Amino acid sequence: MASAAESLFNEFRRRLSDNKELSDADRERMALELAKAIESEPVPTIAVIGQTGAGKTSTLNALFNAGAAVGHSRPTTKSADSFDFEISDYRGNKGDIRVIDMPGLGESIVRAQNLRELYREHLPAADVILWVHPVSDRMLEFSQRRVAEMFREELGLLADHLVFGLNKADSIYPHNWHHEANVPSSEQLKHLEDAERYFAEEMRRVLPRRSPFRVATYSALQYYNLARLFSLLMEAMPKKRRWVLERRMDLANFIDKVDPRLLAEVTGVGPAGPAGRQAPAREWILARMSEADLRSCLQQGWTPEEWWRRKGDT
Amino acid sequence: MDSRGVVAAEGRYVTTEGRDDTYSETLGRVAEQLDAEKVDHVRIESMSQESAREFLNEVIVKIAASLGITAAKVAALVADIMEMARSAGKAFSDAYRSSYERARRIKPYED
Repeated sequence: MASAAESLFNEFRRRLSDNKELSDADRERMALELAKAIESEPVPTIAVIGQTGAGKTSTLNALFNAGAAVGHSRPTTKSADSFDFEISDYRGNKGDIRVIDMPGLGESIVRAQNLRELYREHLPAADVILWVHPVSDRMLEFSQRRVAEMFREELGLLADHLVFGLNKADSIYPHNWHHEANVPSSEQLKHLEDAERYFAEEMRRVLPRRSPFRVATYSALQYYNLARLFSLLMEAMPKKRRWVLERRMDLANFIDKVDPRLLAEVTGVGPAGPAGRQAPAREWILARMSEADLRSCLQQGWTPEEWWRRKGDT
Repeated sequence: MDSRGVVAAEGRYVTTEGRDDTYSETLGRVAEQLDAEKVDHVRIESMSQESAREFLNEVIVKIAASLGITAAKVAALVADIMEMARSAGKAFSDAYRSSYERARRIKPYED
């Protein structure tokens, strides 16, 4: 499916070719120049900040490569010191993205000072800054200090382009993600809401007041809430360049990880086929049968699956 | 079934932590998530179109000037862009909705 931006460009091309005000030659030249302008628009640049293990790469894969790992990405700049800093052209399914992979915020003061130099040098080149943080990690003091240092003074304006991504929603306490439904349990949902609220309160304190605060809780592993994260990244992009990012969007699909039988229950769309509607698991059917249903099943000699199908037909 | 939970006979999704969600609550959460995704996709689409429209607007005027085409000749085209954004937006929404519906179609279940 074409991106929203491409749909618009295609529509424009169609109208251009129908335009009677311009000569054939002018229409052709204009279409050619437009194609050049679109293709010469610089690739979106995303600075991704986060400690090792926060899920920076899996997040990029989930947003731009439908969840699949990228075979290779071409480094364009690599730090000469011990930092893991790297700028590379990440090849997503829909096109390249320049990624400024920033190291975790380090532990030592010396390192932090050097990092600040690194940020000052490279962050202004980013269209958007994605700060990936594991949602379960409530030790925010160090990150808070770094955020405060980074986004004050001359880098303060960059806070307008900052998005916090709280990753690993699926692994939050009490670790009972509904894998069949691919949603958090009610307990986890409560913990996720609390964690996001806490994170927002803590980080808001240290960011410039006038800057919009953007945070999304998601799971790159479970493809959960990726559209929310992407919409915040779009919002944080410079307005004129948002389409460049959307053109490269290839989100891993949340429903790919939902059990088909359960999805059928939700959407009311059952699998069509010669055998008719596919029955869900027996224990699910049994759980929904009343005593009277069970009795009638036994009397008729039906299996629970057969009862379910017949019920669906009536 | 996830090893951390089972559907109990009384229709509750029981977790190892001892608390549980009803089956309908779980289904409801999936439905909410699907709705939320739809809303986010529409937002993404709308932001992208608005941005692409601005880009087109600027680029077309520049191209026309560089090709020596008079402003009057491209005026209609530029004006069209606004309306176009709306119709393309609708086309995109429809395309998204239909592909979304297709994606939701259930693959054959294999035990």
